[in-house]
Amino acid sequence: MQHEIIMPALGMSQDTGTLLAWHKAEGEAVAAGDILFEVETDKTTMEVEAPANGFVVGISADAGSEVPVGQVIAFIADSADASVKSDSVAATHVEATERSDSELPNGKPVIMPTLGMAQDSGLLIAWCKAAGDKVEVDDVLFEVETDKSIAEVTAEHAGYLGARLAAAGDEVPTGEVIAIITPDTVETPIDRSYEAKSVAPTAEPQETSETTQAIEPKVSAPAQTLSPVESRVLASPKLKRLAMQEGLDLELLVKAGVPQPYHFSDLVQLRELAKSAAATLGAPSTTPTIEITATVDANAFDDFLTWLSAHTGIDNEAQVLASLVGSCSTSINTIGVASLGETLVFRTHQQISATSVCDEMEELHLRDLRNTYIESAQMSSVSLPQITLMRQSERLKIALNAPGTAMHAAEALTLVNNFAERLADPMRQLL
Amino acid sequence: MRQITLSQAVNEALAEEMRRDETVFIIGEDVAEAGTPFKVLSGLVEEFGTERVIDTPIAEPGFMGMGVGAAMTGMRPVVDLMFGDFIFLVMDQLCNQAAKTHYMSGGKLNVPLVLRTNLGATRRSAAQHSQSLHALVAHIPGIKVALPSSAYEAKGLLKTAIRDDNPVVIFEDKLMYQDKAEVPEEEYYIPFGEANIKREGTDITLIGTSSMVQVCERAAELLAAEGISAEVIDPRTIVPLDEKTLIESAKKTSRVIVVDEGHQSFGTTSEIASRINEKAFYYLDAPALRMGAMDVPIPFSPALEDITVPTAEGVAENARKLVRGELIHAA
Repeated sequence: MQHEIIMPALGMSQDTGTLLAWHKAEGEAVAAGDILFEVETDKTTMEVEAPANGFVVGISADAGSEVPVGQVIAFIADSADASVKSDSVAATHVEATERSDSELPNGKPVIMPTLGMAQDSGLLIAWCKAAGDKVEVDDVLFEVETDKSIAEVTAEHAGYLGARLAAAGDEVPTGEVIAIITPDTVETPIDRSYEAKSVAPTAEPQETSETTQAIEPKVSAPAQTLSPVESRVLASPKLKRLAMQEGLDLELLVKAGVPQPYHFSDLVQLRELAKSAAATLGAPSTTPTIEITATVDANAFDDFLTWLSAHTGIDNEAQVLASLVGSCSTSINTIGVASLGETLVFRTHQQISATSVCDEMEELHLRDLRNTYIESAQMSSVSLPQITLMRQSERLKIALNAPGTAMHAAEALTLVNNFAERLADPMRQLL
Repeated sequence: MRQITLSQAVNEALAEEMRRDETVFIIGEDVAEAGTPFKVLSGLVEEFGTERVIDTPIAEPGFMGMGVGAAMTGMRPVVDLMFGDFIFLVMDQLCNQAAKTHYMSGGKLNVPLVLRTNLGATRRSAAQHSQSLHALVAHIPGIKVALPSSAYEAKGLLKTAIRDDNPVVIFEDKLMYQDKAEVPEEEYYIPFGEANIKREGTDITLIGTSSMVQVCERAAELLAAEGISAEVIDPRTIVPLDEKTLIESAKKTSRVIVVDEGHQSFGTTSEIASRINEKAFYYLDAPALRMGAMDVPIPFSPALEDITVPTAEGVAENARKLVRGELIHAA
């Protein structure tokens, strides 16, 4: 049983430690707790104790030398003349490599060193020896870069660089064998880039496959949905707000079988559903619409406007129309009159002169298209009663279009008929 | 523009303010010859002497108390706390004294003190030297909290902090001391309570603090490649918090992830996400999501430590889920 003695990490950001002095000599007996050596970092000096009873062998760092943290600097062995452990390390490594790769030459393995406390891998920057070169102890073999520093790695054994198992630029996990120093020259030295080990049959891969199996269903599982709580529709606040603003019913998504909860992205579909719902429902079922037309001779009204302008100075035709329509219904008090362009909302009065512009909401919308070329217009799905007034040669056409919820049929008929009467004989308005 | 490290930026800010104002001084452990373990203060003791760059014994409550007293009596101390984790040792001086003195003296006393310390894991410093404890301090009324996300912010925020008449705690990310950023030669300040929109986007808002700003920016890059437009915002100070900018962005994108290196529970992410959920509720298409450090002591094992803090990949993955309308936490 051998114990490795490594350069300890004493500071938070320590890469190396200076070996100040050995307190034990090569081959000397030690007891656990004996002071082995002293080490200095940028902050402190510390004595390092032996972890076990035994004999100090294989001291590989001299007093005064700066040693990378984690590097083995000696061993504690069972006997003073025990063979140095690096051989046994070598043995296991060679064994390992031989198992996976029988072509590799026999020799001492060179591994990617651990230079930092938290280093997982090192970047091989450059080789300083070619494959097959003769190597002496302490010859620089290669340069390696970690996140913190660049270090030269030297040979611990003499021999020949029988195999280079990583190339410049390769990122190699620490502890991986990247070269083999053979005792004798090798005829065809191996020189290749680093191949990640594809370890086959041990327990580890099974474990990984298990973990992936455990994770995979989670990943590939269909996106989770919430089951609706009784009659409540689950939707994001944003979608709820927008649906409310647009007068859209989220139930349409429920009926269409769209899984809850709903988000802003469902608004497009909701709009489509609302549109097709409105189309299929059609006029008569839930929201019937009223459509009534009437025509009268145009001359009387034209003459009236001329007369009115001449005798009272009132030449705002929109005002006149609003007064006429307003006096045809007891329930409608504000009328928006639109000629091509602007819409003015009037508060109506029996007297034309008392009918004036207001800034209230219109209860009925009147389109005055008399002075246009338009002869017929179909306005469907309206939200409030609309009257369109058009000129057809010598006649005026009145078209009422109203949602069934806005007025009763009788009321609508009365409205249109009264308006037609007033257009046919406008002087009645003055009486 | 020239690029300097965060260390140099902090060093410059201190030197400039100490030259300008004789009442500014530095006190803490290893601040003079050693220049702190991160070498941030190198050269200051040579210029300003040991009277103004004061090395103390290893006694945080002692030198913090001295700092608070000095601040009450007309000085502007910059107290150096070697690791953010040591803030537990100065809690009474900071939270019971410094934070409350102005209020309890009826406004007669100010405590213009800056506590400079750090946060951040993944430095292999283990559980007692890796915490991000800014939320603890931000919880106490009367203390301002700045979290610089680069050398530029580190300098501008520190200079503002030194001139502030209130206690300010600045947490620098200890992994960013060697990170370089463009810092102008000329003098500048970064006002507190002004968030910085690092990147504009329309699909999701990523709010990051300190080094998590970089994480959010990398996540935004990943998302951009997939056609998801992410907005990245750095609040720069969490007390005061630029709520307006954050909420406006949340209303615009309708999805938010808040990323911070403090523990997730009862933390900075919780506070910011909660304010967004309260104040932008009707504009949200998904719940504002928190991504903090796992609620565990930071492990020393590198493999474990790395998974305890938010990563760009993790942020991007959650962003995708929010944009797709997938549930993050099934109810």
